[in-house]
Amino acid sequence: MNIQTYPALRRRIFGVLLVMSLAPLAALGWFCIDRINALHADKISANLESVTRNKARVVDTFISERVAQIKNLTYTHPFEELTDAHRLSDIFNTMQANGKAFLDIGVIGRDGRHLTYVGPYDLADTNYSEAGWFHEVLRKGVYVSDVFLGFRNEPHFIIAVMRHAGSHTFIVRATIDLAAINQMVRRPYGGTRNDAFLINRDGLLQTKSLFHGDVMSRTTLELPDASFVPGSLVTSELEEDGVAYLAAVLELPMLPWRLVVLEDVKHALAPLHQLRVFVMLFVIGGALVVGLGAVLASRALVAHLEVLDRKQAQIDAQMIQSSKMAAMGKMATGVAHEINNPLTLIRESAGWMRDLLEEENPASMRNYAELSETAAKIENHVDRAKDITQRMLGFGRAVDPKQAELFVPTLLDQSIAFLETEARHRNIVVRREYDDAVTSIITDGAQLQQVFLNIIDNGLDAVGKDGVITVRAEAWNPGGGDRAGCRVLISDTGPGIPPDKIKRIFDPFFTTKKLGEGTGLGLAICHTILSSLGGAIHVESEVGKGSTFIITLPYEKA
Amino acid sequence: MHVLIVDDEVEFLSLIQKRLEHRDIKVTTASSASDAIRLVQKADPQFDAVVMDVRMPGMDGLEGLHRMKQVAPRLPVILLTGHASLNVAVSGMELGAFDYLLKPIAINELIIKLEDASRTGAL
Repeated sequence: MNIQTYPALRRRIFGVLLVMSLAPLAALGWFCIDRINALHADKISANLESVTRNKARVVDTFISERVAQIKNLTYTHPFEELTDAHRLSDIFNTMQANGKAFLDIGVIGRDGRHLTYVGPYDLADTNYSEAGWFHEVLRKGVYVSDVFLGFRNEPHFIIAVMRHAGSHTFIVRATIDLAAINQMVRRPYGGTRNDAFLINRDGLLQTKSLFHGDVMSRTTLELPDASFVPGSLVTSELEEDGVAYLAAVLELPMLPWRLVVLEDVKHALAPLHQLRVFVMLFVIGGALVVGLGAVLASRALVAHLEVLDRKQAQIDAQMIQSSKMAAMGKMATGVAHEINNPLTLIRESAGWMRDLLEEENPASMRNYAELSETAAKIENHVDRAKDITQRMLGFGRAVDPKQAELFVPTLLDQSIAFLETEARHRNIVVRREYDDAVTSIITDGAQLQQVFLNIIDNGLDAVGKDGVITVRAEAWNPGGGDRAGCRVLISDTGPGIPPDKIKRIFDPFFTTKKLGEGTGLGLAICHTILSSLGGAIHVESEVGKGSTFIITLPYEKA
Repeated sequence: MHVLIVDDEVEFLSLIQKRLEHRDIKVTTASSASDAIRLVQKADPQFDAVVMDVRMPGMDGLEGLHRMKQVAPRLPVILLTGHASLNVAVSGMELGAFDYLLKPIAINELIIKLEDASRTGAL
């Protein structure tokens, strides 16, 4: 594969991994946030509704009870008792014993004047005949007012009950403590901007709002239109001064008032916001991990691929080399054979010349000696040419292996002969030490020669210049069989092999040579060949002194 | 001794003929295996040995050897071969060749083998 394609491939794998991993992650994140939003919005809304209804019930119950209390008082006590200031004061104190819900109480006659009054204000002489509530109570019998200032000039509201008792018509009127209502409505819950208040149908505040106006003022909020059906509840979102609210408006069942509860959306959504931030951090963190994983995975994959490609390229190169050698072998064989024929003729011609010369009288022939010598020279040179063609034929035969009986030292000589010129050129002496006990063995000469050539050639490379390569052959018969095998020791005076590399030198693709110089297959092939021949190879080396390759061959393959 | 030499190289035939006849060996030549078989079939003259090249156009030496063994099973045949066809020579030995010689040949070696062959054939 082209080297330039690796970064592109890496980018593609990275991209695919990233998209395939991030898409589900992002979808999951989006889904989570969406679901959380929906659930939370529902929950906030439900919560607000519940709070609003609770508050309304409390307020309504409170007012209902107070109305019932005044009604009770009015109808269960005789006129005389109620108009007795001391008696009324006693009754009022009893009423207040369970909770100071009322500010004051008074009994008012048909003319609008106080008959008796118990309370902190100086209202005993006040005439209510012109007051709105007075007319309402005369008309309805029982009346609960909106908040108003009245004669005391303070916001308050009243419960008034009228009774006809014999010749007397009188009205019992009690003022509710606005603070008690305020407290009930505003009972704190939730966030700092949360608020709750009562308004009447004209939109005037009946209790104090924390942020949206005082009692009896008009609220600045644009509240949703209420339906005026008692007990009905409307919620809506609104905004004021940059603060978003969720508002609930409920028509009180007993009174013509509405309860407004405001929820600070930001505060209500704070846990949601936190959750969203958490989910987003989780997604971002996940994305980073996925990204990192994609980078590492794509790098590792492509690096692995690169290694495989490189190995494949080396194998391809080796195969090309092998087929090249095979083609060369065929060509060498053909050429040698073609040359052999004319060589035969030349040799026979020279032989015939010598045959004829033998019949001549050397004394009578002036050039006899010269002719005889020339014929002999021709024969000599033909023999030299024959050597060359035989070597070419030998090379060709290496491509076509065959088991045969051979004498290892002869094979070593042939191998050394191939490399002798190179050795001489580098001033390397190749020493031969052949033990007399060595006998022929049955093996594949061509393949064994490849092994010898390889190792002697490696020795030349290791020595470099000025050194000695010793090739030793000895009989080898560890099993003590009938026929001895052969052991060959090829030593060089090179730099030696470090211990960490010695373990790997027979591994395929391991090379200490520069890139492009060695395939790292030479020794691996030697190892394979020797294994297939039933032999073995190992190496002994000392850094600084040199290496010895020891090859053992059985008499024949078992 | 009467020897039949078979080779497609006419010049080689004439040189060998001259050299062998120089050494008092009677030589008949054939430039193809089929010619050689025809000569042997006629059985006239009677040959003591045959020297046949392996690489020849048309019928090659091995097939020639095979046919010749059918016609004259006891006639010793020496194959001539280049080094490359050594394996062929070995096959020839299996087919019943008496011996083989590598080209270029040494005349003395040929004579020794011919003498061996004629002795064997005479038995």
